[in-house]
Amino acid sequence: MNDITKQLENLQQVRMSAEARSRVRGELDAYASFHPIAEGVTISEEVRSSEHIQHASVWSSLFTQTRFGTMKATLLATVLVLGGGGTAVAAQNAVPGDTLYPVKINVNENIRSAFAVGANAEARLQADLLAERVEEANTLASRGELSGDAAVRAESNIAAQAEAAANAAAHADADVRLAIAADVAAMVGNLRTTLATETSARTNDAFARLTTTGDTVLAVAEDEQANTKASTMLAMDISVETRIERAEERHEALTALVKATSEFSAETRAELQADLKAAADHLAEARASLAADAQAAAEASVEAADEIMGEIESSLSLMGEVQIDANTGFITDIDLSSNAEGGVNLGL
Amino acid sequence: MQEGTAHEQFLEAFDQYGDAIFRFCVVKTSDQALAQDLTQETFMRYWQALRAKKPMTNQRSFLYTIARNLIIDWYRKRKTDSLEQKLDDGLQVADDALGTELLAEHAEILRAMKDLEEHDAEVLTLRFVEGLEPRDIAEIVGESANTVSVRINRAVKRLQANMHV
Repeated sequence: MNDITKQLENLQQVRMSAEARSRVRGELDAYASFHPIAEGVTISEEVRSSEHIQHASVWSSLFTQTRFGTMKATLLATVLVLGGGGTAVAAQNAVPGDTLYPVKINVNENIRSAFAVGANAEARLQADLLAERVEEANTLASRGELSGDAAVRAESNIAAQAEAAANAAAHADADVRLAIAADVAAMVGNLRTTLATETSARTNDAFARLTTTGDTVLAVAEDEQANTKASTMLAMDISVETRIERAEERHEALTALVKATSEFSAETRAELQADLKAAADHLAEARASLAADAQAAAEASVEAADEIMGEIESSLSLMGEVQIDANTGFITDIDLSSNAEGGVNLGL
Repeated sequence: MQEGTAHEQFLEAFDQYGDAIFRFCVVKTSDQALAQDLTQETFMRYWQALRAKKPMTNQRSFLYTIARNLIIDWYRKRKTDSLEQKLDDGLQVADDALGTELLAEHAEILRAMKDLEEHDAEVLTLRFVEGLEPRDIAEIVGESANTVSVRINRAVKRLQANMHV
């Protein structure tokens, strides 16, 4: 045993070469620059210290897609070709009509879009892009350049992006939608103020169109806020119900497994059945609470049931070799024969 | 271009944990180039989590969790590859163009670990290479601490058996 652990410890010598390290570090630096973080956000001391881990939040919702391969490589290569910092950064401040504006739209924003993974991230990104389009109009207005063609372009950019933002927001979670709606309301309010005060920006048609678009976006945002509050209650209801359903399926699978496994000792079987009964009781409570509209109670009960079932699954995996269904995550079989050591078989 | 101290702290996190994450990925995939990609992707997602103000209490375990999930996704894609192919590719020794020096003695134990169940190799790495306690490992892999301890002991025995074959 000592020899093995010593060899394992020797693996601590494995590390990246100096070139690889500095290359990766450079790309991370550029990446962080392209995706600015809100002012005043820092990583707290507690989180940074390598003291004993208390609790890790398992972060599964963003892993719906992975993006290895050519797209990422191409975009990163583009960043390097543009010289990393300089051009791409300068492009960020470009407005329609500037030479670097195409870089901002076609390169920088494509890069951001490539890294937005998941519905919520996508919704926030589209809302950010809407803010950019509005900011561009603001900038032109403050320079007295928002007239004629420029105004038409700005208006159609905003309208198009508003639609994209609305579509993306539709797929996001309720709280994200609410936050986005509030942001959109604020940014449109600002734009209208700018347009009202910059009289040089007034040309009849373009100004009218911009204010109409602004009104439309604002109306949609206000609607969204109202709708979202109503649907938030509904959404909570649905998610607790789904959780209960899944827990019930899990319970069914475990019950069937215990029933089908004849090799359990009488004592073990009795223990398992007692635990399953306790979980079933919690699930019944959860159903009752749900029917009585007591969300928090229902959630607490299904959580208690899940905790018990988690312990049952742990015990099973220690007793013998368990098979887990890759789709549902449920234990489907257990091998208690003496030559099967405890462990988990995912069939990979 | 700095965005205040979060940006600096983020790069510091890479300076501090970059090699550990890389090592973890190498052991699990036996592919240095892939491990570098995964390391970079891990930190990029960490940055996104910071932007989204994800709650986390420890950045070290969070980084391992991200890396681990990326590797799980990668394994799912590679399900059809044969075991022999996994053993053959990727383990490059000192003259590797990408520069990491994997001595022959490392190659041997890495090969032996590839024969283990995925979860077994993982807990062994976290325990003996990364120096984490079973309690911490339990948080990362989502099993109870008890299960982890048992798994570690059984995995060491299996590895021993593999290497004396």
